[in-house]
Amino acid sequence: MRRAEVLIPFAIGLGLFALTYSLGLLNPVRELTSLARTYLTIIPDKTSTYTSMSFEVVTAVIWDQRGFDTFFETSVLFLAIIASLSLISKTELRNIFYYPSTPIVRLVSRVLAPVIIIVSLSVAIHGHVTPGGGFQGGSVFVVAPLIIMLAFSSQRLGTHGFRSERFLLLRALGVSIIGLAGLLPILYSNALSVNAYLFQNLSKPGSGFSYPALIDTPLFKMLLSGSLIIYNIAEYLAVLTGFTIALYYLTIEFEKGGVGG
Amino acid sequence: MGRASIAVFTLILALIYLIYTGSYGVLEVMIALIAGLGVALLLATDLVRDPGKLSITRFSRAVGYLLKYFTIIEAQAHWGVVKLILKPGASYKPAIVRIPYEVSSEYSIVSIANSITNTPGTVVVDVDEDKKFFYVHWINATTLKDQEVRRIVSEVFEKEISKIFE
Repeated sequence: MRRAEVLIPFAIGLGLFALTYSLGLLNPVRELTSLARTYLTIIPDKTSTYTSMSFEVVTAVIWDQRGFDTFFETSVLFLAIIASLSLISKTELRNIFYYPSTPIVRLVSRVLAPVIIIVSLSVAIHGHVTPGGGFQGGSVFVVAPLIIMLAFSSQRLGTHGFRSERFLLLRALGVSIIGLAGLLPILYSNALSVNAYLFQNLSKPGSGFSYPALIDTPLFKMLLSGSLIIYNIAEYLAVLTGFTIALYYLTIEFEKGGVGG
Repeated sequence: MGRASIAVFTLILALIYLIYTGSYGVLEVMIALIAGLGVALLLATDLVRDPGKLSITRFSRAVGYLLKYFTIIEAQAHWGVVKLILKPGASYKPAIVRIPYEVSSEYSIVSIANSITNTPGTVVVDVDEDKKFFYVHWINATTLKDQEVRRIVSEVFEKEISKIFE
């Protein structure tokens, strides 16, 4: 018994070392691949014809370079939430058993929830200039309803204006905005018979369509990075509503005494 | 009723937004205020229940308490635990003790509980709101009598905090 306790971790460690050594991970190549170099130099460069006008390369790649792909990822999440809601839609709100929490937990979660939401908003709307974005902001947001539900009960969300139908509507709105923003270049190209690409952001060689990249007034300057800010806000809406609804129904199931009980 | 609460929390939230974002242009300040107002309307309508208690005096007392807490009181508590650790023979008596409190505001209860928990050696385990007791795990319970425990563990906190929130 004692010997196995020492030998097994040792064997696992040796195996991991052999694996990393044989794959060359201990001595990684320090040069960027050509694709990485292209992304890192061209996207933030405002003078380049292929720029996304965004310092945040990840957001630019996700929404500008492969927006079509990201749209379907969001749609998969949308459908997954719809499916899980239809599975637990028979939930009744009777006989909810509920442990009262201490005033410490209650007050701290009441004070922290608005703080979490304001931070999530900042994460979401600065997604094109900082590490962050709609999905990250939405995920941060969801912590706020979750701690409120854990400190009080799922029904407490209702006092803050939560209705699951209302959130489903907002969620559909978020996904629709992403779809429409992606389709708009095509509609534009058909209407004015110019070239444009699906999910196009800024103008490219051979295509005149471009979302506004920068609002410049004497009072303030606002970097929009074209469609990136639209996608980020819509994704924020879609993610926060979807996860809130899912967690709401899961919390109800837990209050009833567990899923399947 | 909630107007003072909304105003106070709009400003606090806008400030948090600006500090978190780290950019202070005209546009950011405008977004911060609008977002702060929206979130405050949604979630912070009942966080300030008695606007009459909002005053500069109470605020400066709170700042003074935080300064004193994070320097003198914390250092003393740390030193106490350091002595316990270094003393040979491990002759301390851990116990869960009961500490009565006499404040009524929720903010006071939470601040006292957090002050007790945040000092090394003591952790609030539970609160009995009806009988007004904290149940505290104390690493070296030198006494088990309610009032004596209170005098040693929480009297300083209670005296200072009741001047801020009561």
